[in-house]
This record gives sequence, structure tokens and C-alpha cells, in this order.
Amino acid sequence: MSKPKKAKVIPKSTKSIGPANNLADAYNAVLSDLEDRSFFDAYYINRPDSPIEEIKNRIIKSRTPVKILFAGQPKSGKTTELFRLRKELEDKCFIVYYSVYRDMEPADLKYQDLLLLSAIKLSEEAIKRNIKIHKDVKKLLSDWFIQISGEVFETKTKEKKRELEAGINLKYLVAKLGLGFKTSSEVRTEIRKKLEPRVGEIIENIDILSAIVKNQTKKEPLLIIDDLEKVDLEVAKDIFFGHAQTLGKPNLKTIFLFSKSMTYTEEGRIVASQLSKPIHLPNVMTTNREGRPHQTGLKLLEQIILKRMDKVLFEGDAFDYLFKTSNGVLSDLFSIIAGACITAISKERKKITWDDVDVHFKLLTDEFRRVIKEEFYPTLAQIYKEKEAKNDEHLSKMLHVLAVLEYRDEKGIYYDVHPAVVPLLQEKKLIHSL
Amino acid sequence: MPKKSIPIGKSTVLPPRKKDRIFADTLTSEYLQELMTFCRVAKQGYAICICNVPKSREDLILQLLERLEPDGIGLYPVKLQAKDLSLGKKLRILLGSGKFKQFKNSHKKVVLSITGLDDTIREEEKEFKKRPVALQGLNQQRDYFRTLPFPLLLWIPEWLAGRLPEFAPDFWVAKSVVLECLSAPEVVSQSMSQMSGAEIEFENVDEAKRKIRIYKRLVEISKDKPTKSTFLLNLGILHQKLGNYLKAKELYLQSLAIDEELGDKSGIAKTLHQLGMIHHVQGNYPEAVKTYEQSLKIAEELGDRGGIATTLHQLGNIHYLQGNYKEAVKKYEQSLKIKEELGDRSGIAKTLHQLGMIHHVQGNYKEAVKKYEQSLKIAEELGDKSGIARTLHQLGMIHQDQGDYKEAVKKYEQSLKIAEELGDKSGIAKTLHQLGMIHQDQGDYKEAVKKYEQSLKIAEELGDRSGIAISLHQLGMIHHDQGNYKEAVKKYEQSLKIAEELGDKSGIATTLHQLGNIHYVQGNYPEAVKTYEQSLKIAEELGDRSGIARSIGQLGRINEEQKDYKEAMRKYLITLSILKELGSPDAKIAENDLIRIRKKMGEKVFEKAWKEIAGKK
Repeated sequence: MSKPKKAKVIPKSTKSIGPANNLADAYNAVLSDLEDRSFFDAYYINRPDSPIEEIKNRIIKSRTPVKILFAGQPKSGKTTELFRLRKELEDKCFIVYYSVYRDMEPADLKYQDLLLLSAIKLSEEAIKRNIKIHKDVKKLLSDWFIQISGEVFETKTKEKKRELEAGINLKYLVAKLGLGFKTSSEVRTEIRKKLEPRVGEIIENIDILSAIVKNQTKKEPLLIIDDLEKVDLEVAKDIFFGHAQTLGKPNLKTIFLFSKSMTYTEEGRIVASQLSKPIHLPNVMTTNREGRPHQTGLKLLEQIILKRMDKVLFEGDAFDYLFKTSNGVLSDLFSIIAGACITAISKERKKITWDDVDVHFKLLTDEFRRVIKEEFYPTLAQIYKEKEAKNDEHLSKMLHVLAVLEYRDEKGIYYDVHPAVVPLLQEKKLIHSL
Repeated sequence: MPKKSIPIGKSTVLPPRKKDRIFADTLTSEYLQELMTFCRVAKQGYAICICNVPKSREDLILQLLERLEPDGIGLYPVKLQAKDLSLGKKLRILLGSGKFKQFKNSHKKVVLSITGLDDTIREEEKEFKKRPVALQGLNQQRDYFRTLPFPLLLWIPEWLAGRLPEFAPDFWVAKSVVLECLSAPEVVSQSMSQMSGAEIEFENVDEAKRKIRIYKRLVEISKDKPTKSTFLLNLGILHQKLGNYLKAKELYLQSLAIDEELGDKSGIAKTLHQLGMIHHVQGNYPEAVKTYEQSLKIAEELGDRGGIATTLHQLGNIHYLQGNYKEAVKKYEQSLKIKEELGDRSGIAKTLHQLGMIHHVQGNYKEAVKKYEQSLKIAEELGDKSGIARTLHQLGMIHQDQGDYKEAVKKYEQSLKIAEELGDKSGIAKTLHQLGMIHQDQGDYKEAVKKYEQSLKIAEELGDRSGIAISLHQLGMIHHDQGNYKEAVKKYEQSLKIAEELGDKSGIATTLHQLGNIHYVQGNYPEAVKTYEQSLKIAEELGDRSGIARSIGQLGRINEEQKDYKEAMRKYLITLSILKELGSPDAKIAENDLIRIRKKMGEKVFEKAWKEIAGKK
């Protein structure tokens, strides 16, 4: 006798999810993953400052296989914006999405790997969606995959071997190749060796598949390579710089996630000139460069929060205090709210108070305290005072850990220090306490 | 010393299954509540729990387990070992196992509690120059952890919390919450011992600074006034021990204000005691006595014997510093009696040490060593580093006074090492000074000046006027030894001025003696005699036999210069007998003086005078 099924812990509700009216639901609401469709529909707010419209237009309108470099500071919401993009382009594009984190080994990544994986993923997606691939093409591709993968395909059974030779089981081939490539450094080394003189062939194969897909689906193939901005700067430089042209060759519109730190480097500038000017997702501004409240940004944050939880869950000036704690870094904002919910619930309260927010704001300061090295403090103080920054090693590192935030307005770029870092500057008497 | 007693939560005993707070201990119950809330409320995602002390962590996990069970929430512990370099892999295997499936089916909800992540970072990776292997996987698999159908508690020590944002940034960013469960309960319960006046202790400067941070936070987050007052007091004590006297005073005054508002007499007594110590250590003795006596009065009203004993000891210290040795002994013995009744070993060690010092300063070296060694023994049993350092220093002084420089340097260097670990500036200054004296005695003036100036610098930082006076005196002596009399007099007079302000009789006597020496060496005998006699008078008041011998010996020399050999001989005899009793190496000098005078007087006259003097005795 089978046991009665226990109710799943995460409700996949079919009805629309409204703002939470109690702290426990609020906790889960602010932490929900917007890549889950139901949460996305419930909570996502269009950001007026988002470059997604621009990217969308470029993709739709361009007649060339445009390559887009999409950059933004960590935690700025790039993946969520891409999710919106994917949703909005679904009808017009055949989207192939993969992550170098999920599908590859990011510590050991070379430019050829990106090309190979693009080919693999394109094949996989095509097969998945039952695109009819002509027998001859299948054979061509299979043979090619077998050639480059060498010993990976020590086939054990006769049937598999026959199938492989017939090029019929492309699906199996591609899956096995992808897995081997991701998990084994020997496989990678070997395949790279075989690929070296044949990079042109990968590009050819991508173009072939791309054409087939377009022909059958009437949709433009679009490749999105996510988490690429998270690889080590040195690895990224190696991939892009010097190979930008090759990466740009496939006849496939592509969005590459691009490291913001790299946009500050000389190499980054060269890559941009060869592929395209990076499109940045700016941080939400809650105060402008003169330090005055920026209504648009404040309104946006307020909407984002209130879509997830009722304002009545905040007591007194707790809600207003929130805006001072994150200055536009959404994920920190959610973290603080989630923490405040836990604290309030632990104290058997039904509302979040100023103190609850403050406790978690201080924890955020503690995080920075552990991470920021002593030698960065003078630079941080200067940035705080002048809202400007010199482009050097320090800036790159500090942008990466979010101690410094980059903002864009009509006048251009300006910088500010993360609000949670300000108390540290006050502690060290580098700036005046308020 | 704070003596407030806050009941300590019995964190090692499993509590009964009730919803109310069992712990009166503010912090443990707060952490526990937050952990429980997370376990109840979160559907997915991982909380980072920062906890440094394995015991506290185990206790918290046990509590959680007990309290969540009745609600059908199962806490499933996962312990990573050094070889488990992929948390993702381990979880996948675990979650597929029959054991886990069974556990899941028998509970409404499961929470995973993961410990041991720090063990997966190899020793050589701890330099963090490159990303450790274990953290690479964390980063990549963050979506896996985030989307598991149950919440995770990931326990890490603080040092790892400082590294994760850098080496697993995406993992870090995707966390749900951070719960800091720092080991404040340990700190709190340590300090709130019920014995007799607890101490805020630490093993080294870094620990002190960490405790200061913890207390600072405790002060910020405590809403409950009595608790806040105690934390302010403890924070003050930590600062005081590090020599930040102004900061300590500020904190004590804040604490006092709250105590007065609440009418908390016990708190007032304790804080007044501490304030007394600040006046004390800055040489403001009349204020110190006043404040201590206020504290004592309240302690007596409350029948707080521990408090009475501690304040009596401090009053003894002030009498000692002003040379009122009889009064000092009286206070110390009263204090000791109470401490023995209360079984306060730490306090006993301290008072024994002080009694040793009184014997010491009066030249009763044998008695002094006895008391010091008793005190040291207890301090070693208690692991009281501060006490050990102090007593080693004193034993060093005794060796030094008896001319055994090798042994003295050994003891001083042991003491100095501990004082440096503790960041005990006052102790460091004193021991540096003594080492300076040894260099000086051995003629190594360069080294001596170096040590004195180091000591002086610290004394100035601390506002320790007594220490400043002593260092100035010694620097004067170096100029003196090198014939720079003008410079020497300058330093001596600076030192004398401070000693007079402090009412430090022993210091006054010693410096006067030195000034006498300068007059003597410049042939200005009337001035010399005047100054020596002033010094002698004070030494006699103090019962300072070594000082008496010194002054009499010098006066004898002047008699000799002025050809009054009989008087000179008499003085030398007195000097010799005292120095011999003290076992001082200077006895040899006195012997030589007698031999010389005997030659000058001639045998017959010498013998005659001897008989006369002997007869008089």
C-alpha cells in the first residue's frame, strides 16, 4: 500500500499570489526565486532604468548576428532581467540558454569551450523541441562530434555503436559529450587538443544548426550565456581578449554576460570595440549624485517591496529606514527584510520595527568589515566624499564586493559607497559621524 | 570588579519541551529564537549561522532539535569531513539514502543542519591565496542548495564568514539570512560568576578586542536597563585592562548613571569601585580613597562581603603607595580574612602578593618571597596570567635587590612575555624599567636608557604619574653615573616634584638621597648632609631598612671626609649590620668602608672606639 502523499512544502499555486499579509509569508516572498514563473508573474516589476528594452530591440531589429555584452555589478538583478527578456522574446526567438556555472567548469574555461558548448546546447535544444534535422545533417554532426571526442565514446554495446555510426542517436552523443566535458578535465584537455585546428568547423556547425532552426521555427535563434561575468577576471580576459573576433563569428545572435570589472580594463575596451559596446544594467538610484532623494528610484523600490508584502507589516519608521540601508542593491534590501522578519517573529511580534531593520543592517556592515582590507579605506572615504573614483585595482575589487556602487545618470557615471560601509568609515574616523 | 549576578542559563541540560524561554541568559535565548523562527518559517534556502565555539553550536543544535520535534519539524544533522570536498555531492547521496527518506516521511518538515564546512578547507588552503577546492563547488552549486525543498542551516566559524564572500560570492549572495551566534554567552557567564567579584579575563590582546566588540554589541542591543548597565561596566573593565583609562571612565560613568536612575545600590557600589581604580591608577589618590570609601560604605550596607573584601584590598594599595605600610597591612589582612571565608582564591592570591610587597619594600626578603610564592602558586593553579606576570616581576625584583641579576632577568623576561600577551601596558612599563636598572647596574648605559625611555613612554601614555616619576629618577641616575650632574639634577627634580604631588614617600626618599649624592660628589657637604638627613627621616618613617642603611652610609662618608672618623665608623657599623641582615651585596662596600677607616684611624684607636660603640649597644 502506498503511503498518502505528503503535501509538497512549496505550493505551486495556480491562483495569483498577492502581497504577503504576515511576516512568515513576507519572509518567503522576499526570498523567492523569480526564475520560478509563478513568482515572476507575481512579483516582478518592470524597471524603468532597465536596458532590456534596448537589448530586445537590438535583437529583433538587427539583421546581423549581433553580439551583446551585458554587464552589471553583482546582485544587480541581471539574471532576473534576462528572465524577463526570455519571457518577452519567447514568441520571436528560439532561445538557447546555458550557464557556465551549471553546464561547465568555470575555473577551467577557454574560448573554444564556449563555442563547443554553444554547439552542443543548440543541438540539445533543437532535439528537445523536435526540430526535424535531416538525416544527412545528423550524420554530419554526429561524425564531427565523434571525431573530436575521441575516447569519450568507448561504446560498450553493439547497438549503441551501430546507432552512433548511423548518426541517429545525436541526442545521446550530445548529452554524453556535454557531461564529459563538464566533469572531466582530461576530457576537456583532450577535446581541446582536437579542436585546436578545427575551430572553424564548430562555427560552421553552429551556423548550420542555426539555419535549420530558423527555417523550421521561423524564429531567430538567440543564445544567452549566463554567469560568464562570474568567472575569474583572468580567465575572462583570456577568453574574450584576443578571441573576441572568433567568438563573434557564429551566425547566431548572442548575449554574453560580461564582467563589469572587465569594462574598466584596457582589454575590456578592446573586446567591446570588436564585439559591441557593453550594455549596463545600472543599480537603482535612491539618492542622486548630489545626495538628494531620487524619486524614481525610491518609488521603484517601494513598489518592488509592496508587491511582495503589505506596508502594514512595517511599524513606524521601519519602512523608510529600509531605503537608507541599501541604496538600490535589491538583494541586500531583501536580505535585510528577510532577516528583520526572522527577528520580529522570534520576538513574537507581528510587525517589523526600526530596530529589527537596524540589527540586520549592522550585520551587513559586519560582512563588509570582514571582507574589506585595511588599505581600501582611504579610497572608500574619498569616493564617499567626492562621488568620483580613480580607475585602478582598488576600484575593480571594491566594485566586485559591492563596497562601491556605480550609478548612471544623464551626466554620466558616478560612484558611491554602499550604505553599510559608511559606519565603518565613521568608525575609522575617516568621515564625520552624522 | 563587577559583581552583578545574572542567572546563567543551564545550556548543557536539555530543556523541557515548553515554548517559553528557559534561559535567563539574554543572548542564547535570542539566537535560539531566531534559529527556530528560520526553521519554522523558511521553505527553502540556506541560512548562514556564524558560531565560533563548537560547544555553543552543539548546544544550540540540541536545543533546536528538542524544540522543533513536537511541531513535527525534523532537524537532520549533516557533518562534513575533511574529505567531503563537495557539499552538493554529499547532499545528493544523503538525500537519496533510505535513512533520509524514512526521516523525511516521519516528519512534516525537514531542516538540514550542516556543520564541518571549515574542516573541508585544508591547512595549506587557509592562506586563501587561491580559492579552496571545497568553496569552488559551493559557488557553482548554489542554485541546487537554494532550490532544495527544505531549508538549510550552514554553520561556519567567523574566519570562514570573512572568506566566503570573496571565494564563493555567488553562493554568499544567494543566502537567505545570516544569523550571528557569537559566543557571547561564554563571555557573559564567565564574567557573571557568583564567587566574589568576578573578573573580566582574556588570554591576549586579540581576545580582549573581540570581547570588546561583543560587549559593545551587547550594549547596543540590550533594551533592559540593568543588563545594559552591567555590560557597560564590563566593557569599561576590558578597556581599563588594556590601559584605555579615559574610555573606561566614560563607560563607568554611563553605567553609574543608569544604576542611580534605577536605584541599584549593588551596581553603584561596583561601579564606584571601578571609578576608584581609575583615579588610583592615574595617581589621584585622595579622589581614589574617597570613591573607594563610598563604594565600601554601600557594600557594607548591602552586606556584600565579596565587594567589601575587594575594596579593602584597593584601599590597602593606596596606603601602600603612600608608604603607610602599617595601615596597608591592616587593610590587606582584613581583606584576606574575608576572602578566605568566601574561598575566593583569586582574591587571596592578589592580597598575598600585596603583603609580599610590603615585606619586600621593608627589606624582609625572606618573608616577601614566602608570600610571593604562595601567591604565584595559586595564580598558576587558576591560570591567572595577569597575577603570574605580576608576581614573577616581584620575585625578579627580589633577585635583583640581592644582586642575582641572572635570575632577576630570567624572571623579568618571563613576566614581560606574559604582560605583552595580555596587552598589560602598565605591567610592561614596570618590567622594562627593572630591566633598565639591571643594565644600568652592569654599566650598560645605552641599553638602560633605551629601556627606561620605553618604560617612560608607556607611563606617559597611561597617565601613570608614579611610573613617570620612577623612570625620570632612573634616567637621572644614568646622567649621574656619567657625570652629567646638571642633567641629573634636572631629572631628579622633575621626579621629586611628581613624587611629592603623589605623596609617594618612598619615591621622595630615594630621589632626595640621589640629590644628596650629587651634592656630595661636588663637595657641597652641608647641602649633602641636609638632603641625606631629609631622606633618612622618611626612610625611618617607612621602616625602609635598605634606605636607612644607604643614607647612614653616605652620612658616614661625609663624617670621614671631615675627618670625624669615630662618627664615620659608627655609621659604617650600623650600615654594615643592616646590609648584612638584608643579604645585600652592598654589605661588601660597607665592609670596605670599615677597613679603610680602620687604616686611617690606626689599630689602637679603632679598637678603642669599637669597644665604646659595642658597649653603648
